[in-house]
Amino acid sequence: MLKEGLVELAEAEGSDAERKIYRITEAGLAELENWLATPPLKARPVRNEMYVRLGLLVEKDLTRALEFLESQRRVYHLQMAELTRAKIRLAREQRQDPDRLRREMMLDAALLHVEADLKWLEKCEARLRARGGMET
Amino acid sequence: MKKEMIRLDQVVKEFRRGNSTVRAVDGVSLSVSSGEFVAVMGKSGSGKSTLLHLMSGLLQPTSGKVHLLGRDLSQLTDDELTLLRREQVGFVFQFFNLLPTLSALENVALPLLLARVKRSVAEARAREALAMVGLSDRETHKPEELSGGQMQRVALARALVTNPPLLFADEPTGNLDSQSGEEVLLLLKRMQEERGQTIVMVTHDPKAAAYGDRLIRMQDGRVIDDQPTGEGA
Repeated sequence: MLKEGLVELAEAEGSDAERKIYRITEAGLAELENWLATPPLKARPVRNEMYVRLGLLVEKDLTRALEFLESQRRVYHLQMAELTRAKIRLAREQRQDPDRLRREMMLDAALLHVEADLKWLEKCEARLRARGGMET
Repeated sequence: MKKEMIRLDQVVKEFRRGNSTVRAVDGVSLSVSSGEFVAVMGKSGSGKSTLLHLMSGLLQPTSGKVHLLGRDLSQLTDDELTLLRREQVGFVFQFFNLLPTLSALENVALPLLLARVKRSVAEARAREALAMVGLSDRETHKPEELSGGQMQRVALARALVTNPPLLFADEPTGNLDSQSGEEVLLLLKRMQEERGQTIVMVTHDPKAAAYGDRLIRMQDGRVIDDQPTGEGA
């Protein structure tokens, strides 16, 4: 960032004399504004531990894959209940400030992600059962 | 000390459909204690609503036993069952089931009037119940003048006006937008926490089920999972 002129070295004072302190430049501020205004292009990463395990189990044993889905579903329901408790606590708070708004939005995102994960599990289960010729 | 509010022992419910028999509930045994908020989840046709109707005595099982508040429902006469339900149990349904010609206040007062409580007393308690669900300013409104969320809150006030220890809710948010649904769920949670009411709620929606502290999942008339989801689970 220093090389790109986005920050510059500031004078250190007193006890901070040995630390390097940087100050954002005009160009840095412009870059920050630009970053804030640009939506990130990457969607949620598709690779995570859960997908990798399921991917391997599908090859090995469909019944075990279904059992794995079931145990993952229990985890998601627990997560959803925990997030909902946090949401209830927040709904009962009287104060209205930016921090509350931030937390509300984070909780919405987390809950919607768990909901999507649960729906995805259902789809996976239907696919596995269809593949294995099992009843849905 | 937790009290057993509901107990099901090997309960089966079959319905005749033409020449065939459909087993809607298939050998379910479970128990619900006082103060629990139980969510029953399952897809359409999983038997969850039938289970709720069996628990509340709205349906008789084909076989097995249902105990409600310590009473064996198969041993009660119709009148005794009606009385038990009227005094000890509140119901909330997906489609509100409010009487269209009555105001919100009259709808809420109805269970008390049916129990022959004096009108002035019934209306005073109905006012309190409407205040509890945040609808004091809608007392004179007819159902058609209320939004879906408001109608469901009136229905909730009607279910609570007799202060029943047990509340059954069948898809209470199924016909509401998400904001109104959350308001109804928050009210149910408050009833559990502040009044110690036992709640059994049927839903297909995991977001609604997450307000409970126990989750029972059903498939093909059977309980496939029964997990605690409350604090510390």
